[in-house]
Formats: sequence, structure tokens, C-alpha cells
Amino acid sequence: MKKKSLIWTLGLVAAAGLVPVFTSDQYILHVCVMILIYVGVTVAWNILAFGGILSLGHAAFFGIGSYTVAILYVKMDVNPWLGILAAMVTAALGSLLLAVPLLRLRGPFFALATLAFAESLRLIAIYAVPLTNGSVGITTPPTQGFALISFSSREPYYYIVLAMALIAIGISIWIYYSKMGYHLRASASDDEAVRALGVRTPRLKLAALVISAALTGAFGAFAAMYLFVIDPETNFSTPLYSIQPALNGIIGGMGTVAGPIVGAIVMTPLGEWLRTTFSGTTQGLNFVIYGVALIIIVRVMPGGIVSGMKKLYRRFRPENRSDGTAPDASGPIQPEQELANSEGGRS
Amino acid sequence: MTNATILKVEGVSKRFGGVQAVSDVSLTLQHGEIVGLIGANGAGKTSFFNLISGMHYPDAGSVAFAGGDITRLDPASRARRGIGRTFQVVRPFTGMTVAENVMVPLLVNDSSVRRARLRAMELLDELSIADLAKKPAEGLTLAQRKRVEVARALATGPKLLLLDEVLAGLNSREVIDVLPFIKKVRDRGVSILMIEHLVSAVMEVSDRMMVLDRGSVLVHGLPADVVSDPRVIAAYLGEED
Repeated sequence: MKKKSLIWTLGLVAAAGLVPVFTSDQYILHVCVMILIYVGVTVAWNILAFGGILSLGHAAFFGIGSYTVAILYVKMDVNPWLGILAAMVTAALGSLLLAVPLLRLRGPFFALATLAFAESLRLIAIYAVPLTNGSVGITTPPTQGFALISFSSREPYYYIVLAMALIAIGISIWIYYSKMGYHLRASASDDEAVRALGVRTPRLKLAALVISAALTGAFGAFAAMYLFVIDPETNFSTPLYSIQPALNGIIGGMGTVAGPIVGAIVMTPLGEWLRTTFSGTTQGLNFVIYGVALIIIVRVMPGGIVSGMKKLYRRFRPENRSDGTAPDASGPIQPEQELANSEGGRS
Repeated sequence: MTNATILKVEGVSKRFGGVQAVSDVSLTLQHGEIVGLIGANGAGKTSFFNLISGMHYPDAGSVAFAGGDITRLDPASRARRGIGRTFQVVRPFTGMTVAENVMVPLLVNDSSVRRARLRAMELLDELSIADLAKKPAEGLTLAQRKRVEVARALATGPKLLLLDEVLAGLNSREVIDVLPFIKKVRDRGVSILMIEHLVSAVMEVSDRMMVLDRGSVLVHGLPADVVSDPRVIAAYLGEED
């Protein structure tokens, strides 16, 4: 099992690495870059979800990351690679502003606090004109080169964001199967019981928040360099970077390792395809179809795509059906276990 | 407090709104002692437990454990000092296997997941539930879940174990299986405070018994004396009108 999942993982990574070899279509590569940005942000969002914590405010960390790299680069001439690292620090520091709500508020109330937090930052970005240029936004200079993360074609961007996404996934897997992951998953199930066992959950949740925010900040910074233009409505956008990652995660399987990856890979091209197909006279229809698709997925696979697929797989493999046991958790990716976890996450 | 004293609760009280759940209760537990706590429903047994484990803080009185005052300490810190507890309504971590449930407390002081897994298996083996290790914790019978709960509490490496009705809901055969285990844990030097409705079972393992009635101590003494006390019989069986 362990070996099998390793082979699968390597195969998928190799396939992802070969995408630009098979196509040089810049639009397809653009969609792939967006998919990987969403994989990164959703995986980061999901680190909180390991602990059963729902954030609807990751646009805050995304935007902080975008603005950090842009302001440092454009106004202070700081190299954007360093800017990405700085973005992780500022996003992490920014997330500390959510420490009090994180430790005081439960479930939906914390989610609402995060939503308000991201909206406040969007408004600050609009009004802090000397720093952010307000609604006009910041445009990064066209000077190209690897050192400046600026290229004329999409391929280099693709490889950079692929590497970043793989690092984020690696961190997520490492957390899930480490002491921190066990404690977060237990806390998601029963916070009071886990404290009675000696786990300091405030510290644990804060650590998850800071790591999640820092990773999101890195992808926000990359997106700033990739899209050239950084403005409050885009980079602090609640629908784009707060709701979408949460949707990806919930659709794929909240609190599982593979769920957010699958969710982002499925939902990003779907949204993109619907948007381009139903433009013009049928504009708006894309949202209707997207909404219906969401309802269907949630109805058919309440634990997310990953757990839904597992159930389907079991149905057609009757020999696995009789033992309802969860597998040994020693492997790097054990989807069956994530199935159980996602089911627990709903309670 | 002497060296042999592990827990010293002095005059604790707790009020929830209009209900005086615990009023002026004191209890001292010696190293390696088993004390049974009995009382009717709503007598304040679990509330008293919560004051010791830190789920609630007392309005008055103090709690000292292993020589230090812990009256205002949070539950996690108390657990780290050596107070393990089970919950009356068992609370397995759903979405995790039985082994993983037991690994959670083991990972508090040791970051090695591999070592925690081995130690969890040992504990499950001691409780004769090693065969359940890979099962999801939510898919167990009540008796099995109670054992997982005890294994999890033991995994914190407690000096004092608070058992909240671990025998409730078990059949007589299962009760007979569990009692020797409780004694075995005590023989390793763990003090035990157990809430139980099953008086005969508590009598069998307890060194002392304390009866709570409407938040106050009704009787406190040797098991044989306690169960024959007319006040206890009245409180337990109800006074005849």
C-alpha cells in the first residue's frame, strides 16, 4: 500500500512536470498555473481544516502576500524572491491578528470573523493610497529575468508554482502524519477531550493558523508576480481567495490530505471553462451551472470527492467491503484514512 | 501534605446558575489508593471530577496535586502533571483509528509517531483490545469504547486516574473483566478516583468510599461502613414516604 501510493505520487508529479512538454498553448498553461495557485492556497487553507477550523478569510493572507512582494519590489527595489519570503512573514504576522477570535470563537463564528478580517484588509488596501495606490493598484515593472520572476512565456511560471505547490503539499503531508497532525485531528473531533489528555490546543491552533497563513502568503506573492497587477478587488477578493479555496477543500474533502488537491484540480478548470463558454448573451449562466454542480457533488458525495471515490472503489471491490477497518497510517498518503477523517470532520 | 498524598481537595464549591453543584467538598487521596465516589444522579460527582481535572474552576476551595496548587491550572497542564481522566459519555476521536486515539496523548511528551504507535499497541494489548487497533473509533461497541477511553487516559502516564463510570453500560461479565485491571493499574502506583453507580463493584476495588448527595459529602469512610450507613441507603434507594 505504501509502495503503491508512492508510485502513484511520483507518477502524478512526473505527469505534472511534463505538461509544458506536451502543450505550449499559453491559455492551457495559464489555467494550469491558476490550478496550481489554487492547489497551494487550498492545501494551506486545509491545514486549519485538519483541526476542524473553517476559515473564510484566506484572501487576507493572499492579499497581504501580494502586497508585500509588490510594495517591496516596486517601492523599495527588493528582489521578488526575497519578497516571497517576506510575504510569508507578513502573512504569518497578519494572521496573529486573528489569534483572539481563533481561541475565543467556535465554528461558524470564527469563520465569520475571518470573513470580516479579509474584508477589512481589502478596505484598508483601498484607503491606504500612499502605500497601495488605492483602487488603482500596483503594477510590477516589465523587466524580465529569472531573478525578477518575470517571463515572456508561461512555462517558467508553471515550473515555479509547481515547485511551490509540491512544497506546500509536502508540508501538509508532513503535518498530517506528525504529532501536530494527530493533535489537530483529535481537536477537530473533540477539543475538550484532547485538552484533558494534555494537549495545549491554543498553541496548536495558533501554529496551524500561522503556517497556513504563511503558505497562503507565498502563493499570493507568486500570483502578484504572475499577474503583474495587484489591486484590492482582486488580491483581497473574498469570492476568489476566501470562498474558492474553502469550496475546493470542502468539495475535495475537508481535512484530508488529498481532498484539497483534488478539489482545486477539479474546480478551477470547471469554473474557468464555464466562464469562457457562457460569456456574451448567456453571461451569468456559468454561475448557475457551477452552483448546480456544487449541489450535486455535495449531495452525492457528502464527505467530498476523495471519500466518495473511495466508497465507489470499495463497492466494486467486494473483498474490501467486509472489513470496515481503517488502514495502517504509516504511508505518506492513505486515502482510506482520510475518508474516515472527513466523515469525522462533519460532526 | 505528606509525600504519600497525591491529591488534596479542600472545601471546593461550584455553583452553576441556581444550582449548587458542589458545596464544600474535601478529599485526600494517598499514593496508590482507590477511592470510590458514589451518589444519586445529579449529586455532583461529575462536577467534582471537573474541578479536579480543570474543566471547571471552583468558586471556593483549593485543589493541590503532587505537592503543588493546581486550583487555577488549565486541563492540559493538569494532564501533563499527571491527572488522567475518562468521560462519563465516552468521547472517542472520530475519524481516527483506535490506535491513533491512544497515540494522541502519547504524542504530548514524545514527538516520535513510530514510538507512540508501538506504545499504543502495548496499551491496547494490556486492555485486550489490540485486535481493534486499526478500526475506526466510532465503529465500536460501548464496552470497547470504554476500554479505548481507559487506554487513552492511561497513555497520559497519570499519577492519578479519574474514572467516570467506566463500568456503566457493561454487562456483568464485562465488569468482572475490568475490575482486576483497575487493581492492576493501582498496583503500578496510580491512585484512582472512580465514579460508579454499581455499588457492589466499587466496594470490591475501593479502599475508601465517599458518598455525595446534592453537592455535599454525605458519608466518607471504609466501603463496608459506607454501604451499611442508613443515610446512604436512604439517599440511594429513596426514603419511604
